[in-house]
Amino acid sequence: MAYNTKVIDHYENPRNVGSLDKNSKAVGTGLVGAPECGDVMKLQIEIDEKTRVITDAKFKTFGCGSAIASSSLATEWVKGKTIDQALAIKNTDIVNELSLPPIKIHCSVLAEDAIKAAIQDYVKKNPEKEKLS
Amino acid sequence: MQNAPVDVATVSQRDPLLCTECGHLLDGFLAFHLCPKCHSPQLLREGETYFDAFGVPVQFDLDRGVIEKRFYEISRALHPDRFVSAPAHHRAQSMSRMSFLNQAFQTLKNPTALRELMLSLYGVRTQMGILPSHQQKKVPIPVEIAESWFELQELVVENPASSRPKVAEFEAELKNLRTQGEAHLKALETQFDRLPRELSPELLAILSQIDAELQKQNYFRSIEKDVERIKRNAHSD
Repeated sequence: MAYNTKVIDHYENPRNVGSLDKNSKAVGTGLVGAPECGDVMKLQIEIDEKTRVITDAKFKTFGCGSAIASSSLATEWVKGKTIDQALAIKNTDIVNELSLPPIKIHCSVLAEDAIKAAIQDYVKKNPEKEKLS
Repeated sequence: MQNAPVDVATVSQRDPLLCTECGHLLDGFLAFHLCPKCHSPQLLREGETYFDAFGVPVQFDLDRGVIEKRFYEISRALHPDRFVSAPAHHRAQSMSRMSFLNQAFQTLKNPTALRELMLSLYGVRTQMGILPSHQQKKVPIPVEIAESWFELQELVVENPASSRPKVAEFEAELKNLRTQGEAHLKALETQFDRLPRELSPELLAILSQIDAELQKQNYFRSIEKDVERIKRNAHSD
């Protein structure tokens, strides 16, 4: 099976690999695993507390090319978005952007779950902020 | 979309069973497949289950010895070789029945396949394998294990040599979790078998716990495979 060129690009030049300080109050960390394949994905976001805009995002993924590409794309997309906008990102958006085949759809689900988990973690750390919609 | 739940009385327990060709009253697990009077391999009946195929009750605690004995006995009687000079529709029916029987045997003798069958019979899962996994009611994977799995892989990348004992430790933890999960499944099966086979909330509650536990077991198994791969790649000295 040939990978889509966008997948290969993200795989070979992943954006935003690394980590943020998980103890910082401005950082939300989401770690999710795929029950189907054992892939694990960590996605972190840094949020400006006044504007609620995601100022930075990092990820680290152990998994297949599609999982890496999905999380790389997810970090690109969430940067500059507000929490609510980031929550609106659907796995199908990732599927479309990367032209993932049906067998790799769970990788995009994982990326969506990671965004949500990271935001949830941030909200948990900052209970005084409004709760998740 | 989910399957309609199984009719609680399976085909073999429902009505007096008549030959699909000559109407002869059929009795016993062998006649269920092959009419003793007109020798017609029986058409597959609507709603026929793998349990019907062996004349065993719908439960987890199955006598696999009995099933195996019946499997060979039915196979001998139903084998397509016996129908080479029979009418064409008998040949076709013996073949479709034989292949149903083979699937039934493979399923009932395998504990995991049996659990999946039970879940699809009662509509907790749809036909196994057909439903894309992301549409299934998914249980979240255990976070602690995902976390230690992530950390282990970081360690292996950064320092393969010193990660060896950690890998062994992680493997032991996985094995332990699998054993616990299997024990839990066995306990749930016993609870299920004690209940009447009607679609009660209790029955469904047990089935969805079985579903959740199976998904977890599946997750542990896929990590185990990845651990094997890591060992081959990083520790191949």
